[in-house]
Amino acid sequence: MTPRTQFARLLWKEYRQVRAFGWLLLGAGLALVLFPLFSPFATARVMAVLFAAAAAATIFSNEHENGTFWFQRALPTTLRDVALAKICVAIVGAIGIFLVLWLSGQLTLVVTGRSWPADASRMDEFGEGLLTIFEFLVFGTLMSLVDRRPLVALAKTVALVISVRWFGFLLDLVVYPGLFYVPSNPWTSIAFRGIAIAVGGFMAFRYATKWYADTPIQLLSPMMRSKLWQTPTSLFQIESVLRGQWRRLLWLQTRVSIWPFATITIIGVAISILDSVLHQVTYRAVCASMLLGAFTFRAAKSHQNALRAFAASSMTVWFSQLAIPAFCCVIVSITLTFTHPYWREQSQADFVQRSMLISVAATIASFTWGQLASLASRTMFGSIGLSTILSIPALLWAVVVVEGKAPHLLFLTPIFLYPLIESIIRSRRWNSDETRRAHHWWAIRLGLYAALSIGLIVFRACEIPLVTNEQLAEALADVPRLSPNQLRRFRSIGDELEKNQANRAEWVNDHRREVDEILGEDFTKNALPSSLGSIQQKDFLRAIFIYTYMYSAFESSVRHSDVELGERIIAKHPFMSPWQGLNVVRWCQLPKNDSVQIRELARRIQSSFDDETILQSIEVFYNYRFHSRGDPSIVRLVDAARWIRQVRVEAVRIHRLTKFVMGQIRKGVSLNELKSMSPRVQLALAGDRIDGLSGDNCVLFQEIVSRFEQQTRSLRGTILQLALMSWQLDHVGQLPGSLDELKGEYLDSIPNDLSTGMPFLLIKDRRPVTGHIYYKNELLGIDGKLPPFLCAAESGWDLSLPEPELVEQIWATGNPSTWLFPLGLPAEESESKHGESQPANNEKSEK
Amino acid sequence: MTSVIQFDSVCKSFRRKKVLDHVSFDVPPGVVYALLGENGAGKTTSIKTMLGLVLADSGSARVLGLDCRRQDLEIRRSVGFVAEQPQLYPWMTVDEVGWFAAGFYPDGYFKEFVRQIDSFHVPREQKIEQLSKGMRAKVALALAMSHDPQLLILDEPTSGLDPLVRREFLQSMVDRAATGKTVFLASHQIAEVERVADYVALLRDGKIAVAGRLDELKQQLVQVQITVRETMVPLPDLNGHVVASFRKGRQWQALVRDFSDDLVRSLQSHDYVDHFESRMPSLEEIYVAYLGSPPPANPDLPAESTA
Repeated sequence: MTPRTQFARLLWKEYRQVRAFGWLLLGAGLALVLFPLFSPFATARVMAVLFAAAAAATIFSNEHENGTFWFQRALPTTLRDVALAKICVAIVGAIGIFLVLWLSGQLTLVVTGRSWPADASRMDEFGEGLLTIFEFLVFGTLMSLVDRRPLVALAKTVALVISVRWFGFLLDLVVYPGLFYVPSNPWTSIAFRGIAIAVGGFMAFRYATKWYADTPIQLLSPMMRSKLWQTPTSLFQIESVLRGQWRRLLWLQTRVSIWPFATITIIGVAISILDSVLHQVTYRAVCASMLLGAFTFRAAKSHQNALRAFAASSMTVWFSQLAIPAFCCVIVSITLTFTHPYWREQSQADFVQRSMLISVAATIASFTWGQLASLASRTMFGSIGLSTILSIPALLWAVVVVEGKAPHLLFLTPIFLYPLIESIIRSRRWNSDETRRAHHWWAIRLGLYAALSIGLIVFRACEIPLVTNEQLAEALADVPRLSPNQLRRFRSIGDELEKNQANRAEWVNDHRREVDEILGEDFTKNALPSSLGSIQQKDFLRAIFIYTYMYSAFESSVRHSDVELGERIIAKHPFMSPWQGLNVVRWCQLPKNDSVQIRELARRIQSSFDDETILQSIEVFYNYRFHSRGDPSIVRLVDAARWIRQVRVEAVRIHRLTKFVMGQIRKGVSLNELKSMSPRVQLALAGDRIDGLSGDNCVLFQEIVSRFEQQTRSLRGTILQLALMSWQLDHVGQLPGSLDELKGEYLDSIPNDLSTGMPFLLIKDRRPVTGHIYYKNELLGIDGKLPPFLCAAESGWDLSLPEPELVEQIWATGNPSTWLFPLGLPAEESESKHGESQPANNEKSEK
Repeated sequence: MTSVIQFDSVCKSFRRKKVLDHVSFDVPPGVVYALLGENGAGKTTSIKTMLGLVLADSGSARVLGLDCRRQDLEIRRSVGFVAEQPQLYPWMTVDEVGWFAAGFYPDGYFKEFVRQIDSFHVPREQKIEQLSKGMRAKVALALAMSHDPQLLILDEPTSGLDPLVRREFLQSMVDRAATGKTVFLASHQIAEVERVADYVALLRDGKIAVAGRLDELKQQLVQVQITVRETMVPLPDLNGHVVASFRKGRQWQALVRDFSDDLVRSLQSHDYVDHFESRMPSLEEIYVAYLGSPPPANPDLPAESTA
């Protein structure tokens, strides 16, 4: 007998316990790897995780369940050896299965010549597999120490791992607030899971080395609890009541309620987090029913007493359905508030309020009907079925009332009062057999209740306004960015839908692609808000179109900085998920800020036309363009800002050159001498006109002044263009009625055309503007002698310009998307200027 | 004579519940020592304390001269222990469980285990889960005795066994004590304990009510049946020697300590005593007398109380 022999025997014993399970998993895994239906590496991970979970969760607890605890305890060996042997077998088994299957998968790929799955990174799969295995090993070991029933320990392990993962995922969302891109291996969740494994491992190690001793963890929960569960607690409670020992009764209730609370609340956390992510009311109702059934099951199986059913079916559902989602909402709201100032004004309060109300209603329904069912039925399945069936109308009623915007009716209805009163009456006669004998009264009351419930639900549901085709069309008409064609198409979709009520699902599938093409969005059914999908709208499919339309309208409106429309959409969209909400905030926030900033810059450019302001404006526009994902209108704004800077630089250069030339002329320097003095002067004097004016220095001066004027003209036009852009940012891409509307907020005054001294004129098309609007401020002609033009263009629209020749001329340039017309010139001057003009081949068309 | 088990004022509490309250007793070698008490009296905790599985809060506990607190491994290696309704790994065969346990004990364990199993007529190739309850108990006993321990500790050893197996089991205890080994058993099967035990200790609410040799205990106490003239007549005064008493019609049953001739004369002198007779009490009567009454003020002395 040596310590090595002892340890070897312990290892042998542990191996024998999991041998069959391990080999079975390995065999099944090899079969799946060699004849793959799935990725071989996923198979390796799943099999190893299954082994890790099962081996770890039963590692200590099965000694209790089998009753072999004392046999092992009496052996003359140390706790360290016992725990080490157990943990070694679990770790080596799990890792061994993982590696064998992994290598087999690699080999299979090499032999069969197949490639690695495209969506998986080899190291990611490997690392994730190891991390998951250790998660299950650590938490399983911990739970097997905490709980003495292997299956319960396994359930707790799974719940704990899921909770840790979800919490890590939420951390990722906090750390990557954009939510558009979360890396495949986010460090936050991996770090969190690592920390959780470390903490769990430390706790497991501590408890494992004290497994036999009278540790608090044994004394406080498992030992006392296991005894209590075997005690006929109903008799114990009756005795306590008869003797008036309320403290003992309270103590017992506290004890026996710890387990279901602790276990199912963890499961509830996972379910509720999932629930709060999906925001599906239907899903929530299913969850509530499941939890309700689970707890009634637990209560009926264990004690069949009213207090247990009360506690189990109400409190925990309360915790899972109300507290946890509320807690998650609070966390998300706090995060949003801190990260996005927009939410200080517009929170998801409406959503939270509705969720809370429905959760409260679910709680009360569970509370009342769970209790009543446990009193009415003395069989386990009877209790489950009855409580679930009876709760469904109550939940439906809650949903209808809340979504019908009448939450004040919720708690004043007999739907909740009746079972409450009934259960109170029945619980007083609980010990007798009266509840069993009174089935006929029960049936009568139930029938009354059913009739009342259905009547109330129908009555209330009829009050909820439904969306008609006219309302839909009206709503669509409010959206300026939807083209007439799109509007017509949407209307026709609504009409066709009305005709295809019988096979709506097939119809939608057939037309989904068409809808996607119209909207330009990848629409999925998952994006449907539950408030629209199942509650307010009678016609589910119509709601899909409404939602899609809203989302599409919102997207396009944000491009034109309509913050108000975005807010309206959010207000109509209370069940928007945090992800979608953040998306909205991001889209809305930037235009709102930039709109103010651009407006300020436009004003500053007028008053102090300095390089710093121009550079700042360029920076702002660049930033805006970056965030707007290449929105064409923003791209043009950036180019406009750049143009201002170029004009400014050119104007300064010309001004300096003019001063220099004038100074030299005053000194009596000849033209040839001037040419030899500076290459720039040579360049400025290199035109044919100057060659024909020998000896006249005034010609040079006029040329310079002319160019300066051209630059100034361009500058004024650009400032005007910038102000128009600012206006569009604030008005959903609409143009002002006239340039005078820019006065005040956007421009201090409307600049005049430098050549004519006349104000600029804004000409708009006569039809609703639905496409993009292009502006161009450009000098026409190679010699630059034409006056400045404020150019507006709209693809495909008949602008009915007053100069038909010019229209033909522009069409002849081969760029029909750009329409040019002069502003502010008298008709005859305009004619003459046009006669001198050259084709505008240097125009920039941005689309 | 060195005590095999020496408990000196051992105290143990679980949270606020005092399970052992200044428990003191000595177990001499080569005897069968029985610890009696009702459920929850502290018998199993006492055994756990002996094996070092539970640490005493105060007091001293020694087994085979070893400190239970610090030398628990040596104690468990030297003693044999059979738990109440022992559960063995059901998937092991009898041979396997012996081979597994042999790894923790000196050489020769498995050989002796096989011999004992054969003597018990237990099939060695059969799995534990296929054995009857009595056979499992025999396997557990063989496991506990195969390293020939100086001390064999049994916690409710006959619980759940049929009478034949129970008798066989207890006989093996007596045989073992006859070879100079010590057997310590905790039980509430009084009739069986009375047949095999040399020493008895009665445990009540964590305190030793009485402890000593069984025959001495019986000699100290006398069961007296007194018949009085009328039903309302109280028990005659016996100068404070009554340990416990109860009335049934005109008859009083009293367990009297040191029932001397003076007491006999005193009884005869009472006019309302029609008749009385005395005999040696059974262990069960002693047990009921001590444990069916409030605990004595001084645990070292037998209690004096009335029913």
